Amino acid sequence: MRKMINKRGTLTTLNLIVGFLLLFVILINLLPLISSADKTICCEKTVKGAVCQNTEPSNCASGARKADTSCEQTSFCKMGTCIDNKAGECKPNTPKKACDDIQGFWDQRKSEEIPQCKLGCCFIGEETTFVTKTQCKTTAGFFGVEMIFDSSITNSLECAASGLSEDKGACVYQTGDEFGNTCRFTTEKECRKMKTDNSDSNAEFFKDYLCTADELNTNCAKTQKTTCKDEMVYFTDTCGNLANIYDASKITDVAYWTKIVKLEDSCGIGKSNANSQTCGTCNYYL
Amino acid sequence: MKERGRNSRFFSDKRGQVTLFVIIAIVIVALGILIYVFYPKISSVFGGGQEQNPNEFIQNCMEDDLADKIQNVSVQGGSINPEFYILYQDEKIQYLCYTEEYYKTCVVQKPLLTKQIEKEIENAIAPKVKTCFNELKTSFEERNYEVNIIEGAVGIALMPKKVVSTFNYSVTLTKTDAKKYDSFNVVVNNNLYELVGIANSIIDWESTYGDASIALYMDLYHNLKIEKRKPDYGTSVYILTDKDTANKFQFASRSLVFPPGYGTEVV
Repeated sequence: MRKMINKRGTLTTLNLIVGFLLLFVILINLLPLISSADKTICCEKTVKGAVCQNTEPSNCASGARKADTSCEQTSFCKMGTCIDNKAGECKPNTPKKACDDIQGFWDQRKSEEIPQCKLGCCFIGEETTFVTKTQCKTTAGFFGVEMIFDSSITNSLECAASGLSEDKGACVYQTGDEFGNTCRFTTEKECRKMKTDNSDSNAEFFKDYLCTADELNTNCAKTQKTTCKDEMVYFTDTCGNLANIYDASKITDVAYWTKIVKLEDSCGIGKSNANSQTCGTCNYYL
Repeated sequence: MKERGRNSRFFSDKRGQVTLFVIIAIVIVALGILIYVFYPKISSVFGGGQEQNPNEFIQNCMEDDLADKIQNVSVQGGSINPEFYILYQDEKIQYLCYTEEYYKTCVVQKPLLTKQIEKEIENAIAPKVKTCFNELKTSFEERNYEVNIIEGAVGIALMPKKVVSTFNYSVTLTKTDAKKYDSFNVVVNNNLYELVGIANSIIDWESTYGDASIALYMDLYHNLKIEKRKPDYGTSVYILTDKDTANKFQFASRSLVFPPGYGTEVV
């Protein structure tokens, strides 16, 4: 009886061992299939025509380069910036292969780190475009207009909202000497042009402001000096800029030296003011 | 009786005059029609009239073909024959940015889009350029000119509000004296430059962050209509239309796609 039990026990153990061995052999055989189903490689071009995709090996086009790693780790599909040196166009997040295909110059740096790819606002007539300085120069050259490029505008939203108007105001800029900020009373267009001509000037336009406005913190100050323009008498500041129409009662009025006052709100409207010692609004027809 | 006879001659004279006037009128009208139909040939035969300038000739000959090719390129994502595209409303629309992986932003497929489009149009119009210059030769030879044409480079430039093609062909026309033309320009008014600029910006967004917000672009560019269609799971077809000119640019992108059912799991 004991002999029979022992024999059956040996048989069961043997069955178990054989069973495990069989299972092991089956698993070993299945393993490559399981792992290859999950495995992706970097493929230079897929059968559908997509460039630089992490995909299954079977999706890779014949003759295309492939690597048993992610595309970012390869030399041919590494991401960088594609540059057209002639036209000045730059494209970020571009794999090397896509750039090489169109004879572009590929740089592994991000576009923000490449000086020639720095974008700014380009003013061509009434149009604004957010492009590189080279692209702006090419377009301006084509239209035969002066290039006005503002590199301080760093996004397309701000650029689209920017203008190149004939509106007047204070153009505040740096002179590079110990006097700090100075100012010119001019148009928005002229101010942007000044910035293009001398990017170190950091010229900034403040519509409707006078150069003597305290908040602009410039070296231009109020004076009692006057000058004639368009048959009116105007105040001038210490920088020689025009201010508002001469009004003796407002020589020290801070508000009068801050923003442009419209002609209709100036002194003596409706009178000729001939030989007036107090008001510069002249009207010869009255 | 005498009176009657005079009257009868008067009437017969009058009828004769009317017939004469009718004949003259018919001749005048016929001449008018002939001049209208055969004007260029007549003017060349008599050696007078306003001769068409070679620049005008090339502009007239090329502009329809150029406009067609611009239109083709614009609706197919910047390619005349898209290689990697999605079929949407019977149009092959080129993917400009694509990833087939989930959770990943797309990989730029067509960098330097402006340059690529210029090249595509350039190649597409090349046969027509040759035909037009051959026609120019024939046309001027018929007018007794000696024509010498030296082929040159063809260039396309996308510019604000226009597409400019330049043909650096050298044309010499000789009759009594020689006149030389060194370059020819054909300009088509089109907003492709602006639309490609916006497409580029959307691609930058898609390749950096994923799905682009079209509302933001429409807020910014009031003359622009942007539609985003989803013809299949994960693919976006962008249709940019200039409201003022109806010029259109469309392209496809697949970026930051989540697996079906993602975000709908019940916890």
